[in-house]
Amino acid sequence: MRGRAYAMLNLAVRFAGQMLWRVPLRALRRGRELGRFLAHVRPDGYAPMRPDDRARFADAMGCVHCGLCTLACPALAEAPAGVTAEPWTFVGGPSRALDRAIDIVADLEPCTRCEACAAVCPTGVPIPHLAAMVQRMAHDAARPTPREAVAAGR
Amino acid sequence: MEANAEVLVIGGGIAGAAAALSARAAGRQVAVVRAGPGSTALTGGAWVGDVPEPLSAALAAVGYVLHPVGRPLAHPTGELYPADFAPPEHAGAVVDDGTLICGVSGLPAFHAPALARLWGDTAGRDLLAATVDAGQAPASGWSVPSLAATLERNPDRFVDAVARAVREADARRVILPAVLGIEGHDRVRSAIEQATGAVVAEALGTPPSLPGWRLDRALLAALERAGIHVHAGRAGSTVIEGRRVSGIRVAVAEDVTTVAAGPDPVPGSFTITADAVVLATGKFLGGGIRLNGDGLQEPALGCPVWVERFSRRFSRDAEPLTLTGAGRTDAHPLLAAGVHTDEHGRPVDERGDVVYENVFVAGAVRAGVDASAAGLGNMAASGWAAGRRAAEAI
Repeated sequence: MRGRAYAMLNLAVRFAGQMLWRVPLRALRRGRELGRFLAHVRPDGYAPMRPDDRARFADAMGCVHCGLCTLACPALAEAPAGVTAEPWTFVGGPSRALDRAIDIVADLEPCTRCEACAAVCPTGVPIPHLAAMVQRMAHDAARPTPREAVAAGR
Repeated sequence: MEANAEVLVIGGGIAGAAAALSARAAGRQVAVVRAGPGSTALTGGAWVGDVPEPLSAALAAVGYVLHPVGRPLAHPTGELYPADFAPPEHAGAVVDDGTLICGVSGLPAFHAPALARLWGDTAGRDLLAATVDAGQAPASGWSVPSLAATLERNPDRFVDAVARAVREADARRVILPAVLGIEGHDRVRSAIEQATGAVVAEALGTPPSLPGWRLDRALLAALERAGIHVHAGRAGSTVIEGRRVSGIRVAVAEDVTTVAAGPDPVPGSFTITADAVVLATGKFLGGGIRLNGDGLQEPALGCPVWVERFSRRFSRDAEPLTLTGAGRTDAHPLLAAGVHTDEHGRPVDERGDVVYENVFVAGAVRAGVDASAAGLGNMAASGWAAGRRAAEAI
Protein backbone atom coordinates (compact mmCIF):
# COMPACT_ATOMS: atom_id res chain seq x y z
CA MET A 1 0.00 0.00 0.00
CA ARG A 2 2.77 2.40 0.94
CA GLY A 3 4.74 1.37 -2.11
CA ARG A 4 1.77 2.13 -4.35
CA ALA A 5 1.25 5.58 -2.80
CA TYR A 6 4.95 6.30 -3.23
CA ALA A 7 4.79 5.27 -6.89
CA MET A 8 1.78 7.48 -7.58
CA LEU A 9 3.46 10.44 -5.84
CA ASN A 10 6.62 9.85 -7.81
CA LEU A 11 4.62 9.79 -11.05
CA ALA A 12 2.84 13.04 -10.12
CA VAL A 13 6.11 14.81 -9.37
CA ARG A 14 7.68 13.63 -12.61
CA PHE A 15 4.59 14.64 -14.53
CA ALA A 16 4.59 18.16 -13.00
CA GLY A 17 8.29 18.47 -13.79
CA GLN A 18 7.66 17.45 -17.37
CA MET A 19 4.86 20.00 -17.74
CA LEU A 20 6.80 22.87 -16.15
CA TRP A 21 10.20 22.29 -17.63
CA ARG A 22 10.46 19.92 -20.58
CA VAL A 23 7.35 20.90 -22.53
CA PRO A 24 8.10 24.66 -22.72
CA LEU A 25 11.73 23.87 -23.51
CA ARG A 26 10.67 21.57 -26.30
CA ALA A 27 8.41 24.24 -27.78
CA LEU A 28 11.33 26.70 -27.69
CA ARG A 29 13.73 24.28 -29.36
CA ARG A 30 11.25 22.94 -31.87
CA GLY A 31 12.63 24.72 -34.89
CA ARG A 32 16.18 23.67 -34.05
CA GLU A 33 15.23 20.03 -33.60
CA LEU A 34 13.43 19.98 -36.92
CA GLY A 35 16.53 21.46 -38.53
CA ARG A 36 18.71 18.79 -36.96
CA PHE A 37 16.33 16.07 -38.12
CA LEU A 38 16.30 17.43 -41.68
CA ALA A 39 20.09 17.68 -41.72
CA HIS A 40 20.16 13.96 -40.94
CA VAL A 41 17.66 12.84 -43.55
CA ARG A 42 18.49 15.23 -46.39
CA PRO A 43 21.58 13.33 -47.54
CA ASP A 44 19.25 10.35 -48.07
CA GLY A 45 17.18 12.44 -50.41
CA TYR A 46 14.32 13.31 -48.09
CA ALA A 47 13.02 16.87 -48.06
CA PRO A 48 9.88 18.19 -46.36
CA MET A 49 6.62 18.28 -48.30
CA ARG A 50 4.84 21.56 -48.79
CA PRO A 51 1.23 21.99 -47.64
CA ASP A 52 -0.07 21.79 -51.23
CA ASP A 53 1.91 18.57 -51.73
CA ARG A 54 0.26 17.15 -48.63
CA ALA A 55 -3.17 18.25 -49.84
CA ARG A 56 -2.76 16.22 -53.05
CA PHE A 57 -0.95 13.28 -51.50
CA ALA A 58 -4.13 11.20 -51.20
CA ASP A 59 -4.80 11.59 -54.95
CA ALA A 60 -1.19 10.74 -55.66
CA MET A 61 -1.63 7.38 -53.92
CA GLY A 62 -4.38 6.38 -56.39
CA CYS A 63 -1.98 4.79 -58.88
CA VAL A 64 -3.07 1.30 -59.97
CA HIS A 65 0.09 0.65 -62.03
CA CYS A 66 -1.80 0.44 -65.31
CA GLY A 67 0.98 2.23 -67.19
CA LEU A 68 -1.31 4.28 -69.45
CA CYS A 69 0.74 7.37 -68.58
CA THR A 70 3.79 5.76 -70.14
CA LEU A 71 1.85 4.94 -73.31
CA ALA A 72 0.62 8.53 -73.58
CA CYS A 73 3.99 10.16 -72.93
CA PRO A 74 5.47 11.62 -76.14
CA ALA A 75 8.79 12.38 -74.44
CA LEU A 76 9.12 8.76 -73.41
CA ALA A 77 8.77 7.51 -76.96
CA GLU A 78 11.46 9.97 -78.04
CA ALA A 79 13.90 9.26 -75.19
CA PRO A 80 13.68 5.57 -74.29
CA ALA A 81 16.32 5.83 -71.61
CA GLY A 82 14.57 8.71 -69.85
CA VAL A 83 11.21 8.96 -68.18
CA THR A 84 10.29 5.60 -69.58
CA ALA A 85 13.07 3.59 -68.08
CA GLU A 86 11.35 3.40 -64.73
CA PRO A 87 7.92 4.78 -65.46
CA TRP A 88 6.34 4.08 -62.09
CA THR A 89 9.22 5.05 -59.92
CA PHE A 90 7.60 8.32 -59.11
CA VAL A 91 3.99 7.65 -60.08
CA GLY A 92 3.59 4.11 -58.78
CA GLY A 93 3.82 5.11 -55.18
CA PRO A 94 4.94 8.52 -54.10
CA SER A 95 6.07 7.11 -50.80
CA ARG A 96 8.66 5.12 -52.71
CA ALA A 97 9.73 8.13 -54.71
CA LEU A 98 10.25 10.41 -51.74
CA ASP A 99 13.61 8.95 -50.75
CA ARG A 100 14.65 8.54 -54.36
CA ALA A 101 14.04 12.04 -55.61
CA ILE A 102 17.76 12.59 -56.21
CA ASP A 103 18.05 9.32 -58.15
CA ILE A 104 15.06 9.74 -60.42
CA VAL A 105 15.15 13.47 -61.07
CA ALA A 106 17.54 12.98 -64.01
CA ASP A 107 15.04 10.57 -65.60
CA LEU A 108 12.49 13.37 -65.56
CA GLU A 109 14.69 15.63 -67.68
CA PRO A 110 13.04 14.73 -71.03
CA CYS A 111 9.63 15.70 -69.56
CA THR A 112 8.13 18.58 -71.55
CA ARG A 113 5.28 19.19 -69.07
CA CYS A 114 2.72 18.49 -71.78
CA GLU A 115 0.48 16.80 -69.15
CA ALA A 116 -0.64 14.08 -71.57
CA CYS A 117 -0.04 11.62 -68.72
CA ALA A 118 -2.59 13.34 -66.45
CA ALA A 119 -5.16 13.37 -69.26
CA VAL A 120 -5.14 9.58 -69.54
CA CYS A 121 -4.81 8.62 -65.86
CA PRO A 122 -7.91 6.54 -64.98
CA THR A 123 -7.64 7.33 -61.27
CA GLY A 124 -6.75 11.01 -61.57
CA VAL A 125 -3.24 10.92 -60.11
CA PRO A 126 -1.84 14.48 -60.39
CA ILE A 127 1.26 13.26 -62.24
CA PRO A 128 2.60 16.69 -63.34
CA HIS A 129 2.28 17.92 -59.75
CA LEU A 130 4.07 14.80 -58.55
CA ALA A 131 6.89 15.32 -61.06
CA ALA A 132 7.30 18.92 -59.95
CA MET A 133 7.32 17.75 -56.34
CA VAL A 134 10.05 15.19 -57.01
CA GLN A 135 12.11 17.83 -58.81
CA ARG A 136 11.68 20.30 -55.95
CA MET A 137 12.53 17.68 -53.34
CA ALA A 138 15.66 16.65 -55.22
CA HIS A 139 16.64 20.31 -55.39
CA ASP A 140 15.96 20.84 -51.68
CA ALA A 141 17.71 17.63 -50.66
CA ALA A 142 20.82 18.51 -52.66
CA ARG A 143 21.05 22.00 -51.16
CA PRO A 144 23.24 22.18 -48.03
CA THR A 145 21.46 23.05 -44.80
CA PRO A 146 22.60 26.27 -43.05
CA ARG A 147 24.58 24.19 -40.55
CA GLU A 148 26.38 22.34 -43.35
CA ALA A 149 27.05 25.61 -45.13
CA VAL A 150 28.68 27.03 -41.98
CA ALA A 151 30.70 23.85 -41.47
CA ALA A 152 31.94 24.04 -45.04
CA GLY A 153 32.99 27.67 -44.47
CA ARG A 154 30.61 29.06 -47.08
CA MET B 1 -20.35 27.16 -71.10
CA GLU B 2 -23.48 25.19 -71.87
CA ALA B 3 -23.97 22.17 -74.07
CA ASN B 4 -26.98 20.20 -75.16
CA ALA B 5 -27.65 16.69 -76.40
CA GLU B 6 -30.61 14.41 -76.92
CA VAL B 7 -28.71 11.47 -75.46
CA LEU B 8 -25.89 12.10 -73.02
CA VAL B 9 -23.51 9.21 -72.34
CA ILE B 10 -21.45 9.36 -69.15
CA GLY B 11 -18.33 7.26 -69.68
CA GLY B 12 -16.23 6.64 -72.78
CA GLY B 13 -15.05 3.05 -72.37
CA ILE B 14 -16.35 0.19 -74.48
CA ALA B 15 -19.90 0.31 -73.03
CA GLY B 16 -20.17 4.10 -73.22
CA ALA B 17 -18.76 4.29 -76.74
CA ALA B 18 -21.09 1.51 -77.90
CA ALA B 19 -24.06 3.30 -76.32
CA ALA B 20 -23.14 6.59 -77.98
CA LEU B 21 -22.69 5.00 -81.41
CA SER B 22 -25.95 3.08 -81.05
CA ALA B 23 -27.95 6.19 -80.07
CA ARG B 24 -26.33 8.04 -82.97
CA ALA B 25 -27.24 5.20 -85.33
CA ALA B 26 -30.83 5.57 -84.10
CA GLY B 27 -30.71 9.18 -85.32
CA ARG B 28 -30.17 10.98 -82.03
CA GLN B 29 -27.82 13.84 -81.32
CA VAL B 30 -25.31 12.44 -78.82
CA ALA B 31 -22.65 13.79 -76.46
CA VAL B 32 -20.17 11.84 -74.34
CA VAL B 33 -18.59 12.93 -71.05
CA ARG B 34 -15.36 11.10 -70.44
CA ALA B 35 -13.07 11.51 -67.43
CA GLY B 36 -10.31 9.51 -69.10
CA PRO B 37 -9.55 5.99 -70.26
CA GLY B 38 -10.96 3.38 -67.92
CA SER B 39 -10.39 -0.34 -67.70
CA THR B 40 -11.18 -0.70 -71.41
CA ALA B 41 -7.75 0.76 -72.10
CA LEU B 42 -6.19 -1.94 -69.92
CA THR B 43 -7.70 -4.88 -71.78
CA GLY B 44 -5.39 -7.33 -73.53
CA GLY B 45 -6.91 -7.60 -77.01
CA ALA B 46 -9.25 -10.60 -76.59
CA TRP B 47 -12.99 -10.06 -77.07
CA VAL B 48 -15.45 -12.40 -75.36
CA GLY B 49 -19.14 -12.31 -76.28
CA ASP B 50 -21.01 -11.37 -79.43
CA VAL B 51 -20.17 -7.89 -80.69
CA PRO B 52 -23.10 -5.94 -82.21
CA GLU B 53 -22.56 -5.99 -85.96
CA PRO B 54 -22.93 -2.19 -86.51
CA LEU B 55 -20.35 -1.59 -83.77
CA SER B 56 -17.74 -3.85 -85.38
CA ALA B 57 -18.45 -2.02 -88.65
CA ALA B 58 -17.91 1.37 -86.97
CA LEU B 59 -14.63 0.14 -85.46
CA ALA B 60 -13.50 -1.40 -88.75
CA ALA B 61 -14.12 1.96 -90.44
CA VAL B 62 -11.44 3.50 -88.23
CA GLY B 63 -9.01 0.62 -88.78
CA TYR B 64 -9.84 -1.59 -85.78
CA VAL B 65 -10.91 -4.85 -87.40
CA LEU B 66 -12.25 -7.77 -85.35
CA HIS B 67 -11.57 -11.27 -86.62
CA PRO B 68 -13.45 -14.31 -85.31
CA VAL B 69 -11.25 -16.55 -83.16
CA GLY B 70 -12.02 -20.18 -82.51
CA ARG B 71 -9.28 -21.07 -80.04
CA PRO B 72 -7.78 -19.60 -76.86
CA LEU B 73 -5.15 -16.89 -77.31
CA ALA B 74 -1.71 -16.73 -75.70
CA HIS B 75 -1.55 -14.38 -72.72
CA PRO B 76 1.84 -13.41 -71.24
CA THR B 77 0.83 -14.64 -67.79
CA GLY B 78 1.36 -18.11 -69.27
CA GLU B 79 -2.34 -18.85 -69.66
CA LEU B 80 -4.41 -19.35 -72.78
CA TYR B 81 -7.36 -16.95 -72.73
CA PRO B 82 -10.69 -17.78 -74.34
CA ALA B 83 -11.65 -15.33 -77.08
CA ASP B 84 -14.47 -15.00 -79.59
CA PHE B 85 -12.98 -12.11 -81.54
CA ALA B 86 -9.64 -10.30 -81.71
CA PRO B 87 -7.84 -7.79 -83.92
CA PRO B 88 -5.81 -9.54 -86.64
CA GLU B 89 -2.49 -9.06 -84.83
CA HIS B 90 -3.77 -11.19 -81.92
CA ALA B 91 -6.11 -13.53 -83.80
CA GLY B 92 -3.10 -15.62 -84.85
CA ALA B 93 -1.76 -16.00 -81.30
CA VAL B 94 -2.92 -19.62 -81.07
CA VAL B 95 -0.47 -22.37 -80.28
CA ASP B 96 0.24 -25.31 -82.60
CA ASP B 97 3.10 -27.81 -82.65
CA GLY B 98 6.21 -25.98 -83.78
CA THR B 99 4.95 -22.47 -83.02
CA LEU B 100 7.89 -20.22 -82.19
CA ILE B 101 7.63 -18.02 -79.10
CA CYS B 102 9.96 -15.11 -79.67
CA GLY B 103 10.97 -12.76 -76.86
CA VAL B 104 13.03 -9.58 -77.00
CA SER B 105 16.21 -9.36 -74.97
CA GLY B 106 15.92 -6.66 -72.35
CA LEU B 107 12.10 -6.75 -72.31
CA PRO B 108 10.84 -8.03 -68.95
CA ALA B 109 7.59 -9.96 -68.44
CA PHE B 110 7.87 -11.95 -71.68
CA HIS B 111 10.31 -14.78 -71.04
CA ALA B 112 10.02 -16.86 -74.19
CA PRO B 113 11.34 -20.24 -72.88
CA ALA B 114 9.04 -20.12 -69.83
CA LEU B 115 6.03 -19.08 -71.89
CA ALA B 116 6.72 -21.79 -74.48
CA ARG B 117 6.60 -24.37 -71.67
CA LEU B 118 3.49 -22.90 -70.00
CA TRP B 119 1.46 -22.44 -73.17
CA GLY B 120 2.73 -25.74 -74.58
CA ASP B 121 1.78 -27.68 -71.44
CA THR B 122 -1.68 -26.09 -71.32
CA ALA B 123 -2.41 -26.88 -74.97
CA GLY B 124 -0.51 -30.18 -75.08
CA ARG B 125 1.79 -28.94 -77.87
CA ASP B 126 5.52 -28.71 -78.39
CA LEU B 127 6.52 -25.07 -78.79
CA LEU B 128 9.87 -23.53 -79.65
CA ALA B 129 11.44 -20.50 -78.02
CA ALA B 130 13.90 -17.85 -79.13
CA THR B 131 15.01 -14.43 -77.91
CA VAL B 132 16.09 -11.73 -80.34
CA ASP B 133 17.79 -8.39 -80.09
CA ALA B 134 15.86 -5.22 -80.96
CA GLY B 135 18.79 -2.83 -80.74
CA GLN B 136 20.49 -1.13 -77.84
CA ALA B 137 18.18 -1.55 -74.82
CA PRO B 138 18.24 1.14 -72.13
CA ALA B 139 20.31 0.23 -69.07
CA SER B 140 17.23 -0.70 -67.05
CA GLY B 141 15.70 -2.74 -69.88
CA TRP B 142 12.99 -1.97 -72.40
CA SER B 143 9.69 -0.56 -71.33
CA VAL B 144 6.71 -1.44 -73.53
CA PRO B 145 6.20 2.07 -74.96
CA SER B 146 9.88 2.78 -75.56
CA LEU B 147 10.36 -0.54 -77.38
CA ALA B 148 7.17 -0.04 -79.42
CA ALA B 149 8.20 3.49 -80.42
CA THR B 150 11.70 2.28 -81.31
CA LEU B 151 10.38 -0.57 -83.47
CA GLU B 152 7.96 1.75 -85.22
CA ARG B 153 10.80 4.15 -86.10
CA ASN B 154 13.43 1.64 -87.00
CA PRO B 155 12.12 -1.91 -87.49
CA ASP B 156 14.75 -3.29 -89.89
CA ARG B 157 17.16 -4.86 -87.43
CA PHE B 158 14.34 -6.44 -85.43
CA VAL B 159 12.58 -7.75 -88.55
CA ASP B 160 15.83 -9.38 -89.71
CA ALA B 161 16.47 -10.92 -86.29
CA VAL B 162 12.96 -12.39 -86.02
CA ALA B 163 13.11 -13.64 -89.61
CA ARG B 164 16.40 -15.40 -88.86
CA ALA B 165 14.96 -17.01 -85.71
CA VAL B 166 11.88 -18.18 -87.62
CA ARG B 167 14.00 -19.71 -90.39
CA GLU B 168 16.30 -21.43 -87.88
CA ALA B 169 13.32 -22.91 -86.07
CA ASP B 170 11.56 -23.66 -89.35
CA ALA B 171 8.37 -22.32 -87.73
CA ARG B 172 5.10 -21.63 -89.53
CA ARG B 173 3.84 -19.38 -86.78
CA VAL B 174 5.63 -16.95 -84.46
CA ILE B 175 4.17 -15.28 -81.37
CA LEU B 176 5.83 -12.05 -80.25
CA PRO B 177 5.05 -9.78 -77.30
CA ALA B 178 2.49 -7.03 -78.07
CA VAL B 179 5.13 -4.37 -78.73
CA LEU B 180 5.35 -4.18 -82.54
CA GLY B 181 4.39 -0.50 -82.57
CA ILE B 182 2.08 1.81 -80.72
CA GLU B 183 -0.28 2.23 -83.66
CA GLY B 184 2.01 1.34 -86.58
CA HIS B 185 2.25 -2.33 -85.57
CA ASP B 186 0.74 -3.59 -88.84
CA ARG B 187 3.76 -2.38 -90.83
CA VAL B 188 6.24 -4.24 -88.60
CA ARG B 189 4.08 -7.35 -88.55
CA SER B 190 3.63 -7.53 -92.32
CA ALA B 191 7.35 -6.89 -92.84
CA ILE B 192 8.14 -10.00 -90.77
CA GLU B 193 5.41 -11.98 -92.53
CA GLN B 194 6.82 -11.03 -95.93
CA ALA B 195 10.36 -11.90 -94.88
CA THR B 196 9.43 -15.34 -93.51
CA GLY B 197 6.11 -16.48 -94.90
CA ALA B 198 5.10 -17.45 -91.35
CA VAL B 199 2.00 -16.25 -89.51
CA VAL B 200 3.12 -13.44 -87.19
CA ALA B 201 1.03 -12.68 -84.12
CA GLU B 202 1.28 -10.52 -81.05
CA ALA B 203 0.41 -12.21 -77.76
CA LEU B 204 -2.32 -10.52 -75.72
CA GLY B 205 -1.24 -7.57 -73.60
CA THR B 206 -0.84 -6.97 -69.89
CA PRO B 207 -0.91 -3.41 -68.51
CA PRO B 208 0.55 -1.16 -69.80
CA SER B 209 -1.29 -2.86 -72.63
CA LEU B 210 -0.79 -1.62 -76.17
CA PRO B 211 -3.80 -3.66 -77.36
CA GLY B 212 -5.98 -1.80 -74.84
CA TRP B 213 -4.46 1.52 -75.80
CA ARG B 214 -5.13 0.86 -79.51
CA LEU B 215 -8.75 -0.03 -78.70
CA ASP B 216 -9.16 3.13 -76.64
CA ARG B 217 -7.80 5.27 -79.51
CA ALA B 218 -10.08 3.43 -81.95
CA LEU B 219 -13.16 4.12 -79.80
CA LEU B 220 -12.35 7.85 -79.73
CA ALA B 221 -11.77 7.84 -83.49
CA ALA B 222 -15.08 6.02 -84.08
CA LEU B 223 -16.93 8.56 -81.91
CA GLU B 224 -15.33 11.44 -83.78
CA ARG B 225 -16.18 9.86 -87.12
CA ALA B 226 -19.82 9.53 -86.07
CA GLY B 227 -19.90 13.23 -85.20
CA ILE B 228 -20.18 12.60 -81.47
CA HIS B 229 -18.66 15.24 -79.24
CA VAL B 230 -16.47 13.90 -76.40
CA HIS B 231 -16.29 16.29 -73.45
CA ALA B 232 -13.26 15.76 -71.22
CA GLY B 233 -14.36 15.93 -67.61
CA ARG B 234 -16.01 14.12 -64.75
CA ALA B 235 -19.77 14.17 -64.24
CA GLY B 236 -20.40 16.01 -60.99
CA SER B 237 -23.78 17.19 -59.75
CA THR B 238 -27.05 16.34 -61.43
CA VAL B 239 -29.94 18.50 -62.58
CA ILE B 240 -33.07 16.54 -61.66
CA GLU B 241 -36.67 17.25 -62.62
CA GLY B 242 -38.99 14.88 -60.78
CA ARG B 243 -37.72 11.41 -61.58
CA ARG B 244 -35.80 12.51 -64.65
CA VAL B 245 -32.23 13.66 -65.06
CA SER B 246 -32.34 16.72 -67.28
CA GLY B 247 -28.71 17.74 -67.08
CA ILE B 248 -25.27 17.01 -65.74
CA ARG B 249 -22.79 19.44 -64.32
CA VAL B 250 -19.36 18.41 -65.61
CA ALA B 251 -16.25 19.21 -63.61
CA VAL B 252 -13.07 19.73 -65.62
CA ALA B 253 -10.02 19.24 -63.44
CA GLU B 254 -7.17 21.68 -63.69
CA ASP B 255 -4.56 19.23 -64.83
CA VAL B 256 -6.75 17.54 -67.40
CA THR B 257 -5.44 19.02 -70.61
CA THR B 258 -6.38 17.29 -73.83
CA VAL B 259 -8.13 14.09 -74.74
CA ALA B 260 -7.84 12.96 -78.34
CA ALA B 261 -10.99 13.67 -80.37
CA GLY B 262 -12.15 16.22 -77.80
CA PRO B 263 -11.76 19.97 -77.62
CA ASP B 264 -9.28 21.66 -75.31
CA PRO B 265 -11.20 21.66 -72.05
CA VAL B 266 -11.33 24.78 -69.92
CA PRO B 267 -10.80 24.05 -66.21
CA GLY B 268 -13.93 24.72 -64.20
CA SER B 269 -17.34 23.30 -64.85
CA PHE B 270 -20.17 23.44 -67.35
CA THR B 271 -23.64 21.96 -67.76
CA ILE B 272 -24.86 19.56 -70.43
CA THR B 273 -28.61 19.24 -70.73
CA ALA B 274 -30.04 16.04 -72.13
CA ASP B 275 -33.33 14.23 -72.72
CA ALA B 276 -31.95 10.80 -71.87
CA VAL B 277 -28.78 9.66 -70.13
CA VAL B 278 -26.69 6.49 -70.41
CA LEU B 279 -24.63 5.70 -67.31
CA ALA B 280 -21.53 3.74 -68.38
CA THR B 281 -18.95 4.90 -65.87
CA GLY B 282 -17.35 1.53 -65.13
CA LYS B 283 -16.69 0.15 -61.68
CA PHE B 284 -13.83 0.98 -59.33
CA LEU B 285 -11.08 1.81 -61.81
CA GLY B 286 -13.20 4.11 -63.96
CA GLY B 287 -14.62 5.80 -60.87
CA GLY B 288 -18.20 4.64 -61.53
CA ILE B 289 -18.33 3.12 -58.04
CA ARG B 290 -16.44 4.79 -55.23
CA LEU B 291 -15.81 3.85 -51.63
CA ASN B 292 -15.91 6.55 -49.00
CA GLY B 293 -16.85 6.82 -45.34
CA ASP B 294 -20.51 6.26 -46.14
CA GLY B 295 -19.89 3.06 -48.04
CA LEU B 296 -20.11 2.49 -51.77
CA GLN B 297 -21.46 5.29 -53.91
CA GLU B 298 -22.21 5.94 -57.54
CA PRO B 299 -20.89 9.50 -57.80
CA ALA B 300 -22.14 10.59 -61.24
CA LEU B 301 -25.91 10.36 -60.65
CA GLY B 302 -26.15 9.17 -57.05
CA CYS B 303 -27.88 5.89 -57.91
CA PRO B 304 -28.20 3.37 -55.04
CA VAL B 305 -25.36 0.84 -54.99
CA TRP B 306 -25.90 -2.81 -54.16
CA VAL B 307 -23.49 -5.47 -53.04
CA GLU B 308 -24.15 -9.17 -53.14
CA ARG B 309 -24.49 -10.82 -49.69
CA PHE B 310 -25.89 -7.66 -48.15
CA SER B 311 -29.48 -7.57 -47.09
CA ARG B 312 -29.66 -3.91 -48.05
CA ARG B 313 -27.72 -1.02 -49.49
CA PHE B 314 -24.08 -1.07 -48.48
CA SER B 315 -23.83 1.85 -46.11
CA ARG B 316 -22.99 2.53 -42.48
CA ASP B 317 -26.31 1.12 -41.28
CA ALA B 318 -26.11 -2.01 -43.43
CA GLU B 319 -26.16 -5.52 -42.06
CA PRO B 320 -22.83 -6.87 -40.77
CA LEU B 321 -20.47 -7.39 -43.66
CA THR B 322 -19.65 -10.87 -44.82
CA LEU B 323 -17.14 -10.11 -47.48
CA THR B 324 -15.47 -13.48 -47.56
CA GLY B 325 -17.00 -16.37 -49.42
CA ALA B 326 -16.98 -20.06 -48.60
CA GLY B 327 -14.38 -20.84 -51.25
CA ARG B 328 -10.95 -19.32 -51.15
CA THR B 329 -11.01 -18.74 -54.90
CA ASP B 330 -14.57 -17.33 -55.02
CA ALA B 331 -14.84 -13.94 -56.68
CA HIS B 332 -14.90 -11.17 -54.08
CA PRO B 333 -18.46 -9.89 -53.57
CA LEU B 334 -17.30 -6.31 -54.05
CA LEU B 335 -16.60 -7.18 -57.69
CA ALA B 336 -20.36 -7.61 -58.07
CA ALA B 337 -21.18 -4.26 -56.44
CA GLY B 338 -23.03 -1.82 -58.64
CA VAL B 339 -26.32 -0.34 -59.71
CA HIS B 340 -29.32 -2.67 -59.94
CA THR B 341 -31.59 -2.15 -62.92
CA ASP B 342 -35.12 -3.04 -64.00
CA GLU B 343 -35.83 -5.02 -67.18
CA HIS B 344 -35.37 -1.84 -69.27
CA GLY B 345 -31.95 -1.15 -67.78
CA ARG B 346 -33.08 1.77 -65.60
CA PRO B 347 -31.58 2.15 -62.10
CA VAL B 348 -33.72 0.92 -59.18
CA ASP B 349 -33.58 1.48 -55.42
CA GLU B 350 -33.99 -0.96 -52.50
CA ARG B 351 -37.71 -1.35 -53.11
CA GLY B 352 -37.23 -1.99 -56.82
CA ASP B 353 -38.67 1.40 -57.81
CA VAL B 354 -37.10 3.17 -60.77
CA VAL B 355 -34.88 6.02 -59.55
CA TYR B 356 -34.59 7.92 -62.85
CA GLU B 357 -36.97 7.18 -65.70
CA ASN B 358 -34.66 8.47 -68.44
CA VAL B 359 -31.40 6.91 -67.28
CA PHE B 360 -30.13 3.64 -68.76
CA VAL B 361 -27.26 1.78 -67.13
CA ALA B 362 -24.64 -0.09 -69.17
CA GLY B 363 -21.38 -1.90 -68.70
CA ALA B 364 -19.46 -2.64 -65.53
CA VAL B 365 -21.27 -0.13 -63.30
CA ARG B 366 -24.19 -2.59 -63.10
CA ALA B 367 -24.58 -4.85 -60.09
CA GLY B 368 -23.54 -8.45 -60.59
CA VAL B 369 -21.31 -7.62 -63.56
CA ASP B 370 -17.58 -8.21 -63.37
CA ALA B 371 -16.31 -6.70 -66.60
CA SER B 372 -13.09 -8.68 -66.70
CA ALA B 373 -15.07 -11.93 -66.43
CA ALA B 374 -17.86 -10.84 -68.80
CA GLY B 375 -15.58 -9.69 -71.62
CA LEU B 376 -15.43 -6.79 -74.05
CA GLY B 377 -18.10 -8.15 -76.41
CA ASN B 378 -20.67 -8.47 -73.66
CA MET B 379 -19.86 -4.98 -72.34
CA ALA B 380 -20.22 -3.63 -75.88
CA ALA B 381 -23.57 -5.40 -76.30
CA SER B 382 -24.82 -3.97 -73.01
CA GLY B 383 -23.79 -0.47 -74.11
CA TRP B 384 -25.37 -0.91 -77.52
CA ALA B 385 -28.69 -1.96 -75.97
CA ALA B 386 -28.67 0.91 -73.46
CA GLY B 387 -27.96 3.45 -76.20
CA ARG B 388 -30.84 2.10 -78.27
CA ARG B 389 -33.23 2.27 -75.28
CA ALA B 390 -32.13 5.82 -74.49
CA ALA B 391 -32.72 6.84 -78.10
CA GLU B 392 -36.19 5.29 -78.04
CA ALA B 393 -37.12 6.77 -74.63
CA ILE B 394 -37.18 10.34 -75.92
